[in-house]
Amino acid sequence: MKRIYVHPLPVRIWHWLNATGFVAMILTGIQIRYVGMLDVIPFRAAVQLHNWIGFALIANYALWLGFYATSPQIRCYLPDLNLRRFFSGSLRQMRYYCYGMFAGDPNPHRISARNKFNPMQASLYQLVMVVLVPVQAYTGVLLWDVQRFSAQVNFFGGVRVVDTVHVLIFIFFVAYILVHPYLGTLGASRTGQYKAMITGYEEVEDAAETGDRQ
Amino acid sequence: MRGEISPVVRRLALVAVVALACILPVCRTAAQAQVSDADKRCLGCHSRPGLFKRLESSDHMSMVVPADVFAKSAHAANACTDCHSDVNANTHLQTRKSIKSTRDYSIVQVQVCQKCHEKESGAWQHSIHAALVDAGNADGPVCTSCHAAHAEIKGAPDLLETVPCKSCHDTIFAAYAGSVHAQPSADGKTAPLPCSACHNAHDVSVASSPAGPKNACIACHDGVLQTHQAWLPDAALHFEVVSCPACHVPAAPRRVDLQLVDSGARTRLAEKAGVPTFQTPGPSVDAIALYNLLWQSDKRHAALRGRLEVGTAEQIHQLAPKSQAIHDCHTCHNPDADAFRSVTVSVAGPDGLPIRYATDQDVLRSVMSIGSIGGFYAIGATRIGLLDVLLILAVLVGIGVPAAHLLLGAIVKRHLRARDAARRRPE
Repeated sequence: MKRIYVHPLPVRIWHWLNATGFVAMILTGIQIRYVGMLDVIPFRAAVQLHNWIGFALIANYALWLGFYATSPQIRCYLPDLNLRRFFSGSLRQMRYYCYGMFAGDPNPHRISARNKFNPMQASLYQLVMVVLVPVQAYTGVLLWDVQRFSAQVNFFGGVRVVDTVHVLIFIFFVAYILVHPYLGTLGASRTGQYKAMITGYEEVEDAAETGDRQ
Repeated sequence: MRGEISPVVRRLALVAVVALACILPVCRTAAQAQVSDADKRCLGCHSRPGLFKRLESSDHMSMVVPADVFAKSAHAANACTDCHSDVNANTHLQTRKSIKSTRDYSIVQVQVCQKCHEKESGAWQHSIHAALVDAGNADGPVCTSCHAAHAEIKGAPDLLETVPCKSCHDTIFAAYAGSVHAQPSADGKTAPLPCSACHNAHDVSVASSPAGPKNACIACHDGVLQTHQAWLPDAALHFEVVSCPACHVPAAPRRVDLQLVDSGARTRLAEKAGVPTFQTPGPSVDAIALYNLLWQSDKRHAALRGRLEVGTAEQIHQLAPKSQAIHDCHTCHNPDADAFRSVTVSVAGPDGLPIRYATDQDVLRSVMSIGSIGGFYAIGATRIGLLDVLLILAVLVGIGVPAAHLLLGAIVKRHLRARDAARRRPE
C-alpha cells in the first residue's frame, strides 16, 4: 500500500461543510414541503434555516470553484471527450463493482492526485457539481424571493415550474445522500476513503502488490 | 316615585317643542330664499304632489320636486334650466316631450350631469357601473341611481349612514356593519369609513380586481408591506397572491380563484358573449381541460393567475380587528387547508364581472398544473402528487442500491467459494 495526497485542505473543508449543509437542506426541505404532515420544527424557522444554509452552501460552492479553477486538479471535473475510452472505462469499472471487487480483483482505476475519480465517479460528480448544484442554487435563490426575481421566474414559466425543478433535483439528492456514504466504503478498505477525506491521503494498492502492469 | 318626570322638566320640554315648531318654518323660509324667482315658477307646478308624466312604456314618472327638499339640496344654487336646458318656460306647457322610460331618461341625464361634473363623470365611464350600463344591464347604475338630483345633500355619500350604495348592495352593507372599518376608531377621531373610502366614489372597479381593493388598503395602511415583512417570509409575494381579507377575515372560508389573464399585460381576458370558456352546465373543470385551454391556438398569450381570496362579497366586507388576523402559516401551508380544495376558474364576462367555473379540487395537485398554473404554488398545500411518489422511489433507491450491492457481494462470494471448493475436490 502507498499513500497519495489526493484531497487538499480546501477540498476537505468544502466536502464536509457541503455534506453537513446538504443533510440540513434535505431535512429542512422535507419539513417545508411536508408541513402539516411533519412538524418537527416550526414552518417559519424551517424556511429561514433553509434560506441561511442555502446561502452558506452557495458560498461554500464558491470556495470549491475558486480552488479548482486555480488548480490543475480541475482536470478531474472535465468530461472525457474520448467517448470510446470513457465507455470502456465505465464498463470496466462497472464490472469491477459488480464482480471484480468481490473476487479480489484489483481496482481498474489507478488513483493519482490529478486523476482521482474513476470514469463512473467522474461523470457523476461532473453532473452534480457542474449542472445540478448550480441549478439547485439558482432555483433556490429564485424561490427565496420570488417577487424580487419575478422576471426570471416568469421567464421559466412561473413559480410552480421553478419549484418543480428544485424539487426534482432535491429528490435526486435524497437518493444521492443515501447512496454516497455507502459508495465511500468501496475503496481499498471500508474506511479508507473516509480517512482520506479527513487526512487528505488515500491508500492505494501498489502495482507490484496487484501484479498490475502499467 | 323613581323614574317619574318632574313637572319642571315637563314644562321645559314643552317650551322646547313649541320653540322648535316656531323656528323650523323660519329655517325653511330662509332656505327657500336661495331659489330664484324663475325657479319658483317651475316649482309652482312641480312641487304639487301627484304630478306625473305618462311615458311611452305606459309607466308613470313622478315630476314632483318638493320645494323645501330642493331648497336644501346641493343643487339649490343652480337654476332649473341649468340642467333642464331643453325646457323653454314660455312653450313648456304647450310642448309634449316624449320619454320612452324612466331608465332611458336617467341614462340621457348622465350627459347633463357631465356638464358640471366632468371629472366624476369621466371616472364613472371607467367603472364597473358604466360597464354594466353599456352591457345593457337594466340595473346598471347611472348618476341618478345614486344621487337624487333634486335632493342631493353635499357630503351625504361620504357618511356611512347616508351612503347611496346600500340601496343596491344591501346584503353587503349589512355584513359591513360588523367590520372594523364600520366602527369609529377607539379614540373617536376617525368616523366609520364609507364605501367610497375603498371602492372610490365613481370609478368603482370590479370587486375581484386584485389591484383595486388592495391598493385601497395600502393607500391608508402606509408601510404595511414593511410591517408584514417583519414576520411573513416572502411578504411581497403574499401581497400579490393573497387578498387582504383572506387573512383579515379569519372566520371566512377561503378559496383559490384562477383568473384567466393576458400573460404580457396581466389584464383579465374577457369571454365573448354567448361563447362560454367551458361547457355550462357541465362537469367541473379538470386539470386536462385547464391545460388544453391554455394551449389552444387563440390562447397563446393567456395565463392563469392564482389568487387566494375569501368566498363571498359579504365575507370580504367583514374585516376583523388586526389582532384577530391570521398569523399562523399552517392555516394555508397545510395539505388539508380548505382554501386549496375550493378552486374556481374565472374569466371576465362581457360586462367586466367575473364568470366563475367550478374546478376539480385536485387541479392544483395535478402534474398537468406545471403547464397550466405555473404561476401559482403554495408550499405544503399544493404539492404535485407525482413528485411525492418520485421522492419515495428515491428513498427506496437510496436504501436499495447499497442493500442490493451488499447482497450481490454475498452471492458472488458464495459462488466463488463454491467454485473454489469444487476445484479443490478430488476428481
